[in-house]
Amino acid sequence: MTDGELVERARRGDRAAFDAIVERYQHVVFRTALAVTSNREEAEDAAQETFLRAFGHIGTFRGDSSLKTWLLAIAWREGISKRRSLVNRLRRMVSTPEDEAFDPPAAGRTEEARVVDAEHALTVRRLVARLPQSYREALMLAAAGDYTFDEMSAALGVPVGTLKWRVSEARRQLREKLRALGYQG
Amino acid sequence: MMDDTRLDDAALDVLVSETVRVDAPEGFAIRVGAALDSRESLARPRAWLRPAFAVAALLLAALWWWRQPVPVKPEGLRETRAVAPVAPRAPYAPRAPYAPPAPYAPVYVRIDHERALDALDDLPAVQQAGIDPAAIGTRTIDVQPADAITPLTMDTDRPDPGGEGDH
Repeated sequence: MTDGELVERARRGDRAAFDAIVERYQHVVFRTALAVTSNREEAEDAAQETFLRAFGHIGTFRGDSSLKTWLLAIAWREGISKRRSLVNRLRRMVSTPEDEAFDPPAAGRTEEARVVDAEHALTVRRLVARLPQSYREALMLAAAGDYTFDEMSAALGVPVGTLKWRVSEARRQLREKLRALGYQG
Repeated sequence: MMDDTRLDDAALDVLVSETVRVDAPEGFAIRVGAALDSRESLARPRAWLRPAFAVAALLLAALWWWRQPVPVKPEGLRETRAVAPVAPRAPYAPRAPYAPPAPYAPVYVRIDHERALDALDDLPAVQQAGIDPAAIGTRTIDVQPADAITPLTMDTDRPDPGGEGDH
């Protein structure tokens, strides 16, 4: 079933259709919220709020953009709202979200290789977390691979060229920091 | 994934992508569905709340209008104006602090004790005025002739009356 058909049925009050939308876009919305908040718990809350808001306003969705872009725009706003809330700011002061454990895929990899991968990933995650906010958000959205630059531009209201430049600058800064840590390139 | 510390663009992109590409936790869709059910069940009983709030607001407005005080007559206002309020007293100006007294300059008087005295001729002379004896009242005093003076004798054999001792 296409997005348009699901939206049409959800507008008529079909909960099963909206559940299908949630099932289809839960990971995309979660990653978007994670790109903004850089925290799993806040991202979960923001993603849930995104779907609740989308369900309440599904009647206002005109279809000018794709459903995915519409959800991206809502998730972006919810993520910013979560990030700015006082409770989450206080929580961030006493925790280090970038140190969350990373469990790399085990398929076809030795235990030693997985440990090395986990170390690399943790290093990269820390460095990404320390990038300037606008660079970090653009890099995480682009690296997730869920959206094209055109979709990101339409949802966030930022020109495509600006987004590409931010991603490029984020990669350059990240590479420099990794080299400073001994990575050769 | 990278197995060494070599870093090129492709490896960096892959590493960042794998780091960033995190799926929603398991059961997330079920959690969203439960939240939607909860919201719908809460929204249905609340449907009557809006008109109820509107009616309550109207009732409160009517009550407030009915309980408004009677307007005051103009005469009463004039009487009220006749009593002028007491003018506020100006605050006391703070007293200026006393200026410290000017320091006295020490005065040294040098006295030459070895200097030569002035000549006596330079001193002012005071001349006693002459006294006219006729201006002084006098009277005559008769002086009797004195008795013959007998010589004083001392008895050295008489014993010493007290223990005064010799001095």
